[in-house]
Amino acid sequence: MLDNYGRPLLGGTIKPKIGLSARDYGRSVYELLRGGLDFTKDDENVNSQPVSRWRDRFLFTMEAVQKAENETGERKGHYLNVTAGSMEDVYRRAEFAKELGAPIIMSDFFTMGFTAHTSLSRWCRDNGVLLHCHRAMHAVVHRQRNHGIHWRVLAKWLRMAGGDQLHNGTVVGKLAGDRAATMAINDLLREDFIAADKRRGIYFDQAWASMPAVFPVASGGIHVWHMPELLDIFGIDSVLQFGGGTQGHPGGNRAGATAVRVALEAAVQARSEGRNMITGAPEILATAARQSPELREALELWKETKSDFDGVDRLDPPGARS
Amino acid sequence: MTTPMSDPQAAAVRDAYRPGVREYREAYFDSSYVPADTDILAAFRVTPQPGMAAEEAGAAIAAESSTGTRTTVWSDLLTDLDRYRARCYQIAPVSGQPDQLIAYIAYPLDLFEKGSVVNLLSSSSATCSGSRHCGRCGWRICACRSPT
Repeated sequence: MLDNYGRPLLGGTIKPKIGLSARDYGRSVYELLRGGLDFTKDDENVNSQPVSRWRDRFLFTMEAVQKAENETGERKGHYLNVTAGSMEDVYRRAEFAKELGAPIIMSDFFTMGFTAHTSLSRWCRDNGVLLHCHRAMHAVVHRQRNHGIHWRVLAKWLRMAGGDQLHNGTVVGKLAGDRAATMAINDLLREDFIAADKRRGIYFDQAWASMPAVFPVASGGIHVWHMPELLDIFGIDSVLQFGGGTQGHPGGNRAGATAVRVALEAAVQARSEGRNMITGAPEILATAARQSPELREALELWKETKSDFDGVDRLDPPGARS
Repeated sequence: MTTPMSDPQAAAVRDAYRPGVREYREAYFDSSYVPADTDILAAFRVTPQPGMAAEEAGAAIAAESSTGTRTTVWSDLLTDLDRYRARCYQIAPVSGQPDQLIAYIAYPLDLFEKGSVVNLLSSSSATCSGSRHCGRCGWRICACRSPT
C-alpha cells in the first residue's frame, strides 16, 4: 500500500498542538511531506476545535497530501484524528476521510475506550484504511509500579482489538521508557511467538496464531541525533516521528524533514553494513551531514539537548520479587 | 535599503521565537493570569523531578496538555498562541508533603471540542502523562471546573 521497503517510516506531528487554522495546517503538512516525511499526524487532542473544525482540516490536509505525492512520486499520508464525542461522529469522520482518499486515520484508543476502538478497527479493515493508534492516557494507569496496568498489557490488548500502528515511547526522547522493556513490547507487537523472559519483563509465552501485527511508533522529543539509536531499538518495521524535531529546524519544515530523511537513510545504510549504531552514531551523522546542509543545521541546533531525567519505568532486576 | 528585521519590534518577535529547546516556564507559567469565566480549570497534584523548579513542573503540564512541545517551532508564529495556550497560574504547597505541589492550570475554552468528553481526557492526560519532565512519581488531576 505504501510501496516502501527496507527502512522505517517517517512521520511528524503538526505543531503547535492547537492554534493553526485549517489552511495553515495544510501548508505545514505539505512542507513536511514534500521535504521527505512519509506521514504527518494530527496531535491526540486535535479533534474539532473552533480554530480548525474537522471537515476543513481534513480537506486542506488531503489537498496537501496529494500535492506532495504528485511532486515526489512517493505515497504520503496524514493520520486524520477521528476521535470524537460519540461513535456516530467517529464513523462520520472516518467515512469522510475515506471519501477523500486518505490511506490512514488515527484514534486515541485508550481515551476512546476499547469498545469504540474495536468497532473502529473493524470498520478500517472492511474499508481498506490503515489505523494509527495513539496511547493518550495510558500513563495514568501504567506509571505507578504497585498499582494499575502495565503498558505492555495495554499494548497486547490493542493488538487484539486491532490497529496498524501503536505508539510505544522512544527510550531516548522526552517520554519515560526503559530500553529492554520497550524492545520487548516491540516484539509483542510484531512477532508471532514471544518466549517468556523475566529479564525483559515478559512473564508468559505468547503465541499470536498469525494475528495481524502492529508497527511500533516512536514519537516524542526525538531529533536527528537520536536516529541511529532509534533504528537500533526499533528496527525497520516501525514508524519514527519527529514533530518538534522537524518543525523546530531553523530552515523550516521542509528543511527539517529533509534533515531527518537524510539522517535516516544514512543510518539504515550504516546498519546494513553492520556498523555499531551507538558508538558509530556521531561518525555516521557527520559523514551524512557533509552532503546535507539541512542535516548540518539540525545537528548544530540540537546538540545540547538531552532528556536525561531518571527513567521512571525500570524493569525489576532479575531475582527481585514482583 | 534597510536590512530586513532591523526594526526593534521585529527583532523582539524574532527573539521570542528563536529556534531551540526552551524551558516551559518561559511561556506557560504566569502568576499574574486571572482565569476567565469561560476557562476550564484543573488542579494537578505534582511530584516534580528532583532539581526541577515548581514553576517549571506546572508549566510543563500546562504546555504539554495544550499548545506546547519540547522545542520551539516556527509555526508558533502562524497563530495567536497567547489565545490558545494553557497557563499554570498558581502553585500551592501540599501540607505535610514537601516534595509535592498543587499546580492550577487554566485552559481556554477553545482548546476543546464542543460536546466531547473524550477530548477533555485526551487533552488533559495525554502527552504530559508520559513525559519525563512532568513529574517523577506522578501527577494526579484532583479537581476540574467547567464553565457554566
